[in-house]
Amino acid sequence: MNILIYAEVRQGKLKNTALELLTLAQSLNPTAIDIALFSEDAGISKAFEGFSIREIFVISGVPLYQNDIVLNSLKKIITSSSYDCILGPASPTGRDLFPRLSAQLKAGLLTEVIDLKKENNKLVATRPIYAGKCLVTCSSTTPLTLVTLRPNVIAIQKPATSGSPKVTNQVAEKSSLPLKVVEIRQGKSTRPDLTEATLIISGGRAMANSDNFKILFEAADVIGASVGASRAAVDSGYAPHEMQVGQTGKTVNPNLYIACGISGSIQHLAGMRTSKIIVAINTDIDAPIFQKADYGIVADLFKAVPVLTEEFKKLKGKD
Amino acid sequence: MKIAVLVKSVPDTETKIKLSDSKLNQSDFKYVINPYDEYAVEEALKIQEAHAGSESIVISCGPKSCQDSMRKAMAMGIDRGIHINFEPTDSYQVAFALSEVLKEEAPQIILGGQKAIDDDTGHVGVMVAEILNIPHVQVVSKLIWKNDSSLVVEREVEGGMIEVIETSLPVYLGAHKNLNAPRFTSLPGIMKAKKKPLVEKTPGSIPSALVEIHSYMLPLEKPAGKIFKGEPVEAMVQKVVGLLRTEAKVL
Ligand SMILES: Cc1cc2nc3c(=O)[nH]c(=O)nc-3n(C[C@H](O)[C@H](O)[C@H](O)COP(=O)(O)OP(=O)(O)OC[C@H]3O[C@@H](n4cnc5c(N)ncnc54)[C@H](O)[C@@H]3O)c2cc1C
Repeated sequence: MNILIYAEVRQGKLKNTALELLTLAQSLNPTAIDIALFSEDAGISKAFEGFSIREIFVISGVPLYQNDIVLNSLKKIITSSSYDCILGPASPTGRDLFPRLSAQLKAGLLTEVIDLKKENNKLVATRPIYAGKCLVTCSSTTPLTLVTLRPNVIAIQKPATSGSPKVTNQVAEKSSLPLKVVEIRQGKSTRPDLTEATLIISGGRAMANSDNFKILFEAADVIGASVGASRAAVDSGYAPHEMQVGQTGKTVNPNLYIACGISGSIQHLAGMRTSKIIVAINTDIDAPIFQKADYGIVADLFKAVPVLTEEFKKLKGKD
Repeated sequence: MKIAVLVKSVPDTETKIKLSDSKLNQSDFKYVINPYDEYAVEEALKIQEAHAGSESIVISCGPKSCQDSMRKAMAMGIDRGIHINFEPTDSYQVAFALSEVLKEEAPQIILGGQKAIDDDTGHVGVMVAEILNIPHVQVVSKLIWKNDSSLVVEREVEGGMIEVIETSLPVYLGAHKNLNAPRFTSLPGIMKAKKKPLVEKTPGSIPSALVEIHSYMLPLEKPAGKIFKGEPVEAMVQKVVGLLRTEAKVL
């Protein structure tokens, strides 16, 4: 089995998902793993050291991510070799590219995958549907399988092999559609995006205004967490839309999710139920969030969160 | 201008998922229009209102339950509907069937929700754009018209980052939640929608599915957690932080 990985680069940095994808690819015992890297900076491929990789295609000439250019360049690599599987991240970029690639190559597409195994020489993926209320196993019916993997579901493991891959430099293909990315505006937040964050502290309607979110940011800063919000908090104007977690917001998958003043509606749970550990801080012992929580504190968040911040500080001091 | 909106009926977000013989038990499903599609319908109506002489169509592929969502779109103001009565097994089949109708209708602008909340894939609109060989912009949070045939679209990506994209018609746009605020349906709107034309079509030959589903499973329920109450806040928080470090090992 030959695998090609689309290694995502954003703001000049390689995303962690690239190494998660490499870990996944190696678990499938492939004949060869190749990487497609869209970056001017060849130094990025240092991160791949220790993995056994056959070839890295470094594609230059895409200063701003633009889907048709990336797709045309990927297609050139895919058709010049014989791959059985193309892996990419279930990120905004992966979601932008892979359906188009699937329709173009008439190859089965399995997205938002949380597990991928080889069974009888066939790739079988597990993915959530109905916002994680149900799981399905599925595979493609075509020789080539396209897969996008949810961030944070695989712990990166380097086999620590030596030997260096072949590096092939290519210039990106041309745009073929009336489409031009003219600008990429940076977000205000310097924290990891919620969908990729390993630690998240979220606030709900109980935050009562946007100023109060400060106490969540203070706690988050100590441990390097990202801050999320419920839809009630977003719709009330306490937090921007990009912070919304849930069915109509972001799907997150951190190691730790701390829900402060969030009741735990089915739509909120839809976005965070796969968090490895859930902590709930709520004044109401009957709040549904406590049924999903690994640890719960029945208390006023305005009293509990500042203590949490202090405890985090003590903990960080100890390290 | 001719504007097409692609909609889908999905089970209400409150729906509990049950399995019978490892198959989905859909008997209790209450269907609603996919929430993201409402933003697409609203944007279609706004475009129609801003461009005199425009026409709007709602198109859906799936079982009969699609028609409720189509009527909802028409109650919001869409002019007419085309229902492709066919139960697809994967998103490529849906995209293919929709594309056949879109080729006939040749709209200048095609809108859809950025994803459907049931199978949660977001494939169909992007695949339609590929089949029709037109540009697509997914997760659209803002639309600015430069003139009648070109526009600037903002697409929301991770970390609040925005990609600003110039494109021209025809184009597919996948609507995000903050694109607009969908209008409510009025009783007269609902009455009027009942009389609007809704044609039912059976598709021609559909290619075989690219994806097959093997089995359905319910996720494992977590064991009950440790809930602290009635103690001083300091003590409870200290205990939980301690457990996060020693037991859960996440800090
Ligand atoms: C189609 C659809 C899509 C939706 N999508 C989403 C989505 O993506 N994300 C989402 O979050 N919701 C979504 N919702 C909304 C969802 O149904 C809930 O309304 C929402 O999640 C409630 O947010 P909340 O928990 O912050 O507020 P509430 O339900 O009002 O809960 C507030 C909680 O704060 C507690 N509290 C109050 N004061 C304090 C205090 N001082 N200290 C500690 N606790 C306190 C209360 O006991 C209560 O449990 C959606 C709904 C629909 C219909």
